[in-house]
Order: sequence, then structure tokens, then C-alpha cells
Amino acid sequence: MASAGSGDEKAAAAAMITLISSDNEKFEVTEATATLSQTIRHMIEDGCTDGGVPLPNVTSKILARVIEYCKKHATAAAGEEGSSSSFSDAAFLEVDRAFLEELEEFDDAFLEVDRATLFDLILAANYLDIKGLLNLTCQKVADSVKGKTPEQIREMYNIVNDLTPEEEAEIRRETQWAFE
Amino acid sequence: MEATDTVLAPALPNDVLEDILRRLPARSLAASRRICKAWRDVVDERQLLLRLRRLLPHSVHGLFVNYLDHRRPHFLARPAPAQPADGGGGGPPGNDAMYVCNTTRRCVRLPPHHDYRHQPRSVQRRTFLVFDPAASPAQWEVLMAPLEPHKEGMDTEPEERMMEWPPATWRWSVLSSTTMEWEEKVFVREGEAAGTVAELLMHDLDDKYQPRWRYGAYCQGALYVHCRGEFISRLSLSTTTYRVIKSPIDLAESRVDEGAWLMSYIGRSGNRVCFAAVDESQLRVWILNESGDQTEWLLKHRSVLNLRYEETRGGRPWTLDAFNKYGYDIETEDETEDDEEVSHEDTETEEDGEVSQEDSKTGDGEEISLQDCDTSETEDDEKVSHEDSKTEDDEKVSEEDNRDWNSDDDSITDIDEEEDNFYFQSDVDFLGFHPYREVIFLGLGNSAVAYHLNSTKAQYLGDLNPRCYNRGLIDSFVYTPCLIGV
Repeated sequence: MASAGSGDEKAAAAAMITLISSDNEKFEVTEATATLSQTIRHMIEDGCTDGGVPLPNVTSKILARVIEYCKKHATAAAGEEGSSSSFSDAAFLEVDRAFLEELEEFDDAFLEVDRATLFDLILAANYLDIKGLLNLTCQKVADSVKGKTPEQIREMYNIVNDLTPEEEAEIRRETQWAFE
Repeated sequence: MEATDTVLAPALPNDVLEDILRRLPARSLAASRRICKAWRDVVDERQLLLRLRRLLPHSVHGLFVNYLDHRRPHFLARPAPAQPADGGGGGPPGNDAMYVCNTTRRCVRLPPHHDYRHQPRSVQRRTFLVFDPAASPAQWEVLMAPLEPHKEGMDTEPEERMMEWPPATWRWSVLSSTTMEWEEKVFVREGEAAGTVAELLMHDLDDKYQPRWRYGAYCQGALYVHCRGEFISRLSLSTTTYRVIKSPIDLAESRVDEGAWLMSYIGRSGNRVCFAAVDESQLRVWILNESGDQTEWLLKHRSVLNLRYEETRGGRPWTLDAFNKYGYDIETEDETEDDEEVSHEDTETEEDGEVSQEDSKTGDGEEISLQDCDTSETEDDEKVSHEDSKTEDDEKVSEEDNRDWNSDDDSITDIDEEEDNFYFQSDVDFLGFHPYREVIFLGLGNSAVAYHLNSTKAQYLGDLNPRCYNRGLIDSFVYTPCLIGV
């Protein structure tokens, strides 16, 4: 795994991508990291990443977090690939499990952000088309909404209730079973 | 994107919001519709609630059975911990009212139809429920058929006897759940009439009971109504046209005029319209094939009806609710159900009382029964018990499906020959088709059985005898509750 990993790094070092946030900050990342984003992957395939990739929808604060996520998961992906051939099955499974656990811990810690940041991460993940990150963040929001009353949810996310009393009554009527 | 203490969630693209909401369990998803317009619209437009299969009708929880002389339907179901509360609700025992009870455990009283009180009871009109919770969970319609030529109720002037039936323009009454008002709707015939009024009258065997004329099936946007004289009218609701489909059985061939016994039934199973007939102890089931321009009945099953069944061992039989015939309990809600059932109430008192009630099923199963009854249901999540009953002189059908039977009764065992639960053919009644399995629910005498077409084995479900005066079972509807809908 060590040799595979370093080889990977060498290959990646040859292809660094520059990402430019909305506030004009530049981030150098390996191609392996950047291509977790399908959006960027397509840009690379189209050969239009020279001079950096402007991301006008993503602030430097959020982009930094997104890159942190991608680096971790890109490493994990590379590690999995590299390890498969050089370990026995049992050892491989062991390493694999450790990896997954570490990744899970990383993800949990990664989600320890305020709700505003969480939403920004969702928007960035959606824009950059990073499936794993989108999945992770959407699930986090879904979990936070689960079991809550509409009032609690609105308060949590500062949502203004723009439904008329009539509409609300209608909704209650339609799904009365949910409010009993 | 800086953001952010302001209104965040609504700013999410709909695709993302959908991604979040679809991870929610049913109750939270329903609650999320009340957050704001954006959330509600995503849930509705992306049909997120409908994706939750368990909210849609997919299992049989019982049978609503109507008996002659009873004002409300009865409900035959596996005994549940929560039984419907007794209908203490007051309510006019009276009648002439129809109620629709849908799957969401709510029962709606329909406004009286203008003709309703003026009709002799013997010619009460048939009604059918059109409802598809998967397509439009909050909307349903009730269609009331115009009067049909009737031996007793109609003049038989020669020119009238020569008229085509059904007429080229057929006037029905339609009640929509959005307006709750009856409107006239004219269906224009495409193709040939079934015959003349005279022919229809000739085939009118026994006005009181034949055919199971409250039965119909709502499938793919069309209502299939089983009509006197053995034909089916297919009413297209979108185009307000209809056409006549010949029944797969031939009345002349079956010698009904000579007293041979024949019973037929139309219903829906899966997405197909099915037709069943029993005569000379032979059971046949067809499915309607309407691919392309073709309309044909495909014989799917034929067997000598095995009238023996075994009462289940080790499982509790289904029981008929204990309401008395005036039990009333409207507006009780119900819980979740999948199918909806409508129960219309109208009372029938008197002889001949054919109440016009009908129900039709829609895809996922809904049923309507008109009569005055109410439904009461209580349920815990998935046990719903609605009842509507109708009476008929036959028996009732009960449905069940093994899958839903839990352990209670799924063992199908044959009965040992000697036993006495043998019934004459005329004691056989159709109670309904299973919504998705190869099972037809039959009433054999006072016993409701699930008849498995593949094995031709009958499985006992429960006793259909309401234990109080009645002149027979009129009709029954399979209850498949769902959470969707009003």
C-alpha cells in the first residue's frame, strides 16, 4: 500500500489543479482529489482547467472544507485500490475495516458544523457534483428534521412559513394521519 | 453564500431538497409539507409520499360486507387488538344518505342527489367510486348510474322496448370531491349498443339480485361497470365517452333461461380488469386484454369449483364486526389505510331494495359501498377496519392474502372430504379479487373463503353471518388500507 500510495502521489503531483473560490482564493489540489467532483472531472476531460478552475458559487471557507473532504476520501479510494493486491484477504479485510472506521470518524467530525455551513456544504456538493459529500450532508439534514414538528423545523432552519392558514388546514386534512 | 442565518432551506435547489426529504420516514415527510410552500411543492410534485409503498394499498385487511336490511356495512377482518369503537355517534339512522369512506380513515357524507329522494326504492341508482390514491391521493369521484330498464319500474311501450341500450348519449351523475356537488355528465357511446331495451329485459333474470350490479372496477382512468344483460360498460372519464364490452359469458349458452344458475362478477386485480363467473359449479376467471385496438377476454382460469374448505387450525378466523345494524359512526377517522373504501350509505328498506350502491375499485383498491352505513375504523397503523356492508342474498366474499395473514392463517389445507362444508352452487358469492395475488374471495354459504386459483384450494377466513336479521348479503369490497389520500 505504501508503494502504491506514493506512486499515486507521484502521478498526481504531475497534475495539480488550481481551484479558485468566489472570493478569489486559490487552492492547489491533486487531480485525484479534484476529480471526486464530477463537475471538475468533466472540465479536466474537456481540457479546460488551465489557469485554474473558477468556482463562483463557492466561498473560500466552504471550498477549504470541501477540499478537506475530497482529500480524505481520495486517499481512501487510492488506499483501497493499492492494498488489494498486496495483502492476504484477511489482512486486507482488516485494513479495509480500519479504513472505513477511520473514514466514518472523519465524516462524523466533518459534519460538526453549524447549520449555515451545513447548507453551504450541500450547495457546494450539489454544484460540484460530489456524490459522497452530498449524500452525507443531506442525510445529516434529514436526520435533524426527523421526528420534529413543523414549527421546530422552521425555527431550526429559519424558514419562513409562507403557507396561508387555508393551505395549512388543507395539508393537515390531507395527511391527518401524520398529525395524530 | 455567505450566509446565513437567513432563510436557508428554501434556497436549496429542488433536486437537493428532494434528496433530503426522500430520506424521511412517512410521518416526517408528511409534516414537512407544512413547513413552507417550497417544501410542500417538492413533496407533491416529486410524489415523494407516493414512493412510500407502504402508504399505498398493498395488503388486504378485511372485507366490507353489506347485507340487505342493514343500514351500514359490516367489516370482516382478522380480530385486531383495536376494535372499532362502537358507533355511538348518533347520526341519523336514517338514510337516504350516502357516505364515502376513504382510506385515510375518514368518511365523508355525500350531499343528497336531487333525485335521490324521489326514487322508489326498488330503483335506486347504482353508484361507483372512482379513486386512485397513487394518481390523485386527495381526489375521488362518485359516479351514479342512470336508471336501467327494469321490469317493474319501466313502461314497456313498444317504441321504448325497441330503443337501443345503453343509449347513444348516457347521462350519469358525477360527484367530485373537490366540489362536493352532483353534476350531470353525458357519456357518448362509441361503437355498438349492447342491444335493445327489450333484449335487456329478457335477460333480466331476477331483478333483485342479478347481476352483482354494484360491482365495477376503476382501472387506468376508466370505470368498468357490470351491467344487466351481461355486458360491461367502459366509461372513460377523461373523454366522457363509453363503449360496450361484451361479457365473456354467453347467457344463452349457459341456459340461464331454463333455470341454470350463473353468477358473474367484475373486479380488478393488479392493473387488470378481471371477470369471474360460476356456473354449473365451474369457476372461470378472465382478464381483459385491451392492448392496441383489441379488446378481448383472456381465459385465465377454469376449474371445477372446489367447495370444500378447511377451517383453519391454529389461527383465529376473521370475525365480523359486532355492530348492530344501526351502528353508526361517521367521521371517525381512521387511520391509515391504503385503500380507500367508500361506503355510501343509503338505506334500503324494503323489498326489492336494491340500493344502489356501488363501488369500484381503483388501482390500489378502493371500494365504495353505498348504503347507509358508516364506517368506523380504528386502527393502528396498519390495521384498519372499515366496514361497509351490503347485503345481498348471497354470500359474501372475503379476501385475504396470505402474505398479509401473518401467521394466523396461512396454511392452506385441504379439507378432508367427508366434511360437511359443502355448499350448493347457489350459495356461492363473489366477494372480490385479491389486489395482486391469484386469489378470489368467495362466500360459501356463511363462510368467507380465500380461493387460490393456482391450487384450487379454499382457505377459510371467517363467518359471514351477522347474527341478526338480514335477507342476505348484497355486496362486499376488499379493504386495502393506505395512508394516502384525504
